Amino acid sequence: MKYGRALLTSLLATILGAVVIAGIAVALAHLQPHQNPYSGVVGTTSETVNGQQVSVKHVALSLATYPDSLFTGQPHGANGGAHPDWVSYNHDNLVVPANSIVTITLDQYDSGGALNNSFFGQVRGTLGGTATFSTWGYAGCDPSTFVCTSTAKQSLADNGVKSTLTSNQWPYYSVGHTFTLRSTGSAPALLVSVPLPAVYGDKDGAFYGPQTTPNAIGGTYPIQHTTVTFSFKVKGPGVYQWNCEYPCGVKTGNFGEAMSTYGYMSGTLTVK
Amino acid sequence: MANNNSQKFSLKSFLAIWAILTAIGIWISIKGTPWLMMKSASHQMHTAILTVIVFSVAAAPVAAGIYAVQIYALAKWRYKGEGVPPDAEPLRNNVKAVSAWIGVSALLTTFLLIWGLAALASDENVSGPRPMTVNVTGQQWLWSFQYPIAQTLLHHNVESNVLEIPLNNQANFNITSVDVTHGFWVPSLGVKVDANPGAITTLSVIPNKLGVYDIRCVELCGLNHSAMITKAYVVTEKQFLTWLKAQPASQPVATATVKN
Repeated sequence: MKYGRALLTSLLATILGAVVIAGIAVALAHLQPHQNPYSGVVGTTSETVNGQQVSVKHVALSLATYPDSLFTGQPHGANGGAHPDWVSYNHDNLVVPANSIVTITLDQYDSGGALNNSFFGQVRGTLGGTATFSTWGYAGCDPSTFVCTSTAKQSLADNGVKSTLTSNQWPYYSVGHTFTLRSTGSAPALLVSVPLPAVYGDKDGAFYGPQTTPNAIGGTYPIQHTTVTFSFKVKGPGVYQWNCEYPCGVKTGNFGEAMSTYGYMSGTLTVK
Repeated sequence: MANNNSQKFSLKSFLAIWAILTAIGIWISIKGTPWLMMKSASHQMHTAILTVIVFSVAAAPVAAGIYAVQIYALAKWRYKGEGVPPDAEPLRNNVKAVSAWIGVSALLTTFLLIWGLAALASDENVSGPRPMTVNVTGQQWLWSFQYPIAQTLLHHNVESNVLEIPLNNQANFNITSVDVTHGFWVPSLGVKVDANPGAITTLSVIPNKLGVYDIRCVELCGLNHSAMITKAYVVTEKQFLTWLKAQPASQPVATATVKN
């Protein structure tokens, strides 16, 4: 009897341990983005296939990158959630239909600096190999060095000069973030990477240009922010991962904290 | 219950069990190893597969001997109930058995050491035609490849997120990281080395089989470490030049040094 009880106990303990470990593994494997699914506006467009125009699904996604988590809509919760000071995308859980053209219009509100890998200064994987960059420049700010010699001109709304550039790269120093998407083992191969130009900061670190107050507790973001538009085509179902490749975080090569956390500067794009 | 200790050890029975298990082990080593490991596309990978086979074949009779002792003992000397006989005399007093055991082990391990050193030397002394440099940069969570040969042939830089190398030409890799330590691994080419920030590691390989092969990161590097995957394309020289010419010119923007 003692032998039987010991055998039963050891078997149950082994099974219980295996279940616990399997549960942890499954939970990690299904690590989910932190925000609600976002599908944008779905419609149709046409593309040329073998010389003929064919109808194809089109998805318009409106994204934004902010210097903190206090923006309108508050996906991180009241007062910016657990990390109100973390830089953040406004959506991290993107869902699009299979075989569709995805157009992203991305408003970029953050300052930046130089990339540590020139690879991400190029536009990659988009239709036509280009993106359209809409930026604001100011007198006294040098785009090649990202140096502004004056203090912030927040009251001079008409002082900025808007420029639009369609190019296969962002040719200047000032990158705020990137949108870089890659396939995991489950999805057809795809790499899309677009640099997101920064907003100028003055010599004291404040944002250049007039500010606005889009969030609930009084923070400000530049009215004259940068906007980037690009399109790419997705194929069959699968899950892609995306993140920002401009290292503006802390720890682990400046890719720690917000840079390595779903819901902030990393997320997924699910093709269904 | 009869006292089974009176049953003498049957060398023939033991050797029969040992021989069968050894044969099974050698068969699994020879047939199973190539099936389990990635397909070979270079001399290094071929050497790696062959080394695993040789080491497994060398280990097969040793493992078979241990299992044969277990099986024989369970079959011949198991007991139930009262009157379990005492243990037999320890082998340490048996000079012949101990000498044989130590001698065979020494010969075996010496053989494996020499084989391993020879295989390692073979991997490091890569020398092939038309050596081409590829600079590899690891970053959370993407591999990028720069081809200096493009500057010579096309007068502009080429960067890509996939590795493209010509068949039977020596490829020399300079590998680094711009943030944390990554592990650059191309299983089918049999090459793996760390990508360390602020340092350059090197390796060389001559691919000898056309095809598409995985490149993975094998050093845990953060949230999307498992997605740090790309492809290596081994193509003909003509296909490589066609691909290189089709790549857009890479105009590097200002870059900063590694920030810690």
